[in-house]
Amino acid sequence: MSLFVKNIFPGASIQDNGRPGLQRFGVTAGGAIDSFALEQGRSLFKEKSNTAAIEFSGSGGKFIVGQTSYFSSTGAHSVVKLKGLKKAQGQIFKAMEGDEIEVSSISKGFYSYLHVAGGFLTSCHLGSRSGNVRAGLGTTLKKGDHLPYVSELNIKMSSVKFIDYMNTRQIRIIEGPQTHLFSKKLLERFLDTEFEVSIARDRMGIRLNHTGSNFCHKDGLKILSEAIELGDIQIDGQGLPTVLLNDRQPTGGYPRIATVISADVHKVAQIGVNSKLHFTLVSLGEAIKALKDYEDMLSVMDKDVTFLNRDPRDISNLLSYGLVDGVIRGDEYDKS
Amino acid sequence: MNIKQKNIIFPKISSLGDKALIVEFGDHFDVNLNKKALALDFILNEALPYGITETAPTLISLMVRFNPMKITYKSVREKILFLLEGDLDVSTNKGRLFVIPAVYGADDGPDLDEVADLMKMAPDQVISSHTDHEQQVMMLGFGAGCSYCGLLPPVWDIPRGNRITPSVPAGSLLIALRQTVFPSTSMPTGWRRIGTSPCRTFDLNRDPKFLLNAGDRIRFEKVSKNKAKSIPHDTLWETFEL
Repeated sequence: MSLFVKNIFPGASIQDNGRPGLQRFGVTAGGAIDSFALEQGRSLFKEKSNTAAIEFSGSGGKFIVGQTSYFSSTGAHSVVKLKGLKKAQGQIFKAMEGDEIEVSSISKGFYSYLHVAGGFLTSCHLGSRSGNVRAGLGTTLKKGDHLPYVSELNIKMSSVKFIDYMNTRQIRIIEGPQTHLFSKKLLERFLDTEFEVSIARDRMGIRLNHTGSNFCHKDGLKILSEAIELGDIQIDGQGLPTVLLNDRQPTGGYPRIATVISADVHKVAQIGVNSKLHFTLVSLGEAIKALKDYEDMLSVMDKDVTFLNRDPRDISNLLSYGLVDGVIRGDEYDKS
Repeated sequence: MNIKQKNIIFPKISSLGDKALIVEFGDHFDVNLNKKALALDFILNEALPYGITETAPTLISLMVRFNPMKITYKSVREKILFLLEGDLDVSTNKGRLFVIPAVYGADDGPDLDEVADLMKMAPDQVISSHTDHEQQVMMLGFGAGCSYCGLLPPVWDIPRGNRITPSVPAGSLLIALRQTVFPSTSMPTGWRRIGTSPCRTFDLNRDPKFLLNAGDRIRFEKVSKNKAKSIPHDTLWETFEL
C-alpha cells in the first residue's frame, strides 16, 4: 500500500541517512538535511533502523492515505491536518484508509518531515532511498506519486519532547584548509557581518546576502578542485558566500573561508528565507565538544518520548480522574 | 619529500570541518603530486585504520574522513605523517587498465575541429594521439562516476572553452589542460567535446555500479558509430574485447 501524493510543492523528497562513503566516486552523502528531526520521528516509532521520511523544503503538500497506519511530523514548524483537523507536531496520529493529510504553512524553520511507522519503502539506490536530483538517485516527490509503506498497527501513541532550535542565529564555524587564503582583516569583517538567507537555496546549498562590500580575494578566487565538506562556506568569484549542504558537489574550485561545525549544520539549514544570522569562529576542540553533546542528545532521545496511552496501573491518582461517575443498580438494561 | 612553496610546507595537513582532514601535496597542478595523492590513498585503503571511514583523492590532495568519536584529528594526522615519512612509493598502485571505445568527431565530438586547430594538427592526428596514449584516472568528481583522466602529451595543453555548453551527454570525452573529463551523467561544461563513448562509468543497473576508481588507467579506442550502437551501456569494460 502507499501514500498518494495529491499535491506537492517543489523541493520535497524522500530522505534517510543518505549514502556515506562514496565521495571518491563523485557522490556526496546527501540524506536528511535535519538529521535531528529525522531521528525524532524515528524515536516516536521506536525505530532503530535507517527508515525514510518525506522531507519538505519551505512548503508542504497534500496526501491520501492508502492503508490505515500511524504518522507524525517533526522539523520546521508547520500546520499538519488530518481530515482538516490540526494535529500536533512531534506526536503520533492514526490515519485511516482514504484520509487526507495536509502539511502546510511552514512558518519557523525550513525543512519539515512527515514520518510513517516503518518508514517509506521507495526505491533504494546505493543503499539509500534519499532523493538526490543532481545525481538522479532516490525519490523526489511529484504530484501523482505513490509512496509505498507497510501498515504497522502495533504502535503505541507517543509524543517526543519539544526542542526548539529553529531560531538559532549564531552559527559556529571552524577554520579550514583555505581559510589562510583570506586576509585576517577580511575574515574579521566576515565574522562581524550580519548575513541574510536568500531565496537562492536548496539541498545543495544556501546563498547568503549581506550589505557592504563582497569578500573578494586578491589572488583570484580559483583554486584547484578539492573535496568539499558538508557545511563548507564557499566564496564564489563575486565574493559571495554559500553554505554547502548535503547534496553539494563532491569537489569544487572556489575557496572555502570556513566550515560550519557538524552540530550546527542542521541549525543553519533550518534558518528561513530572509532571516538573519552571524558566524562565530570556534576551535576544533569546541566543535568536537559540541558534536559530542549533539550525539549524546540523539542517543538519549528515546528517553524524551512519552506514551500518550497510559497504563492505568501506572497512574497513582487514578481515582481523581472520575472514570466511574455515579452509582447504578445493575439491572437497568434488564427491564428494556 | 617536503616541498616548500610560498612559505607553506607541503604536504600540508589541515582539518576539513570536524569530521575530516585534507592532505595537500602542493598548490599548483603537477601530475607527480597527483601520483602522491593516489599513492597515499592506496596505502591507507590497504588497511583502513580504525575510525577512518573514507578517503577521496582529488588532483593534488587527499580527503580523509573519520569518526571523531572514535579517533581524534591529531591521531589521524599522526598516522598520515608516519606514512608520509620518507618518500611515498608512487609505483605501488598501478590500477587496472580499461580499454574504452569511443566515437570521435561529427555529432559525437562537435568540437574536434576546433581542438585540431588549437593543436595545429589534422583531426585524424588528434584522434590517434588521443587513442595512442594511456591515461590515468586522476580523480573522480563533479558528479557520479565523472572521471578526470590524464595527462596527455604537452600538445594537448589547450585552455577550457570560453562558452558554457548547457548540456553534454553521458559518455562525452571533454578536453582541456592535457586532461580528458569523462562524465557518466549529462552535465553543463566549458570543456571541448571531441568524442562520445557508449561506456558508462556509473550505472545503477550494473555490478559494480562504479566502473573506474582513482588510480586506474584507461586507453580510448576509436570505434564506428554503428559499432558503438551495438555495445550495451552496462558492459563490463575491463574484460571487453574490441
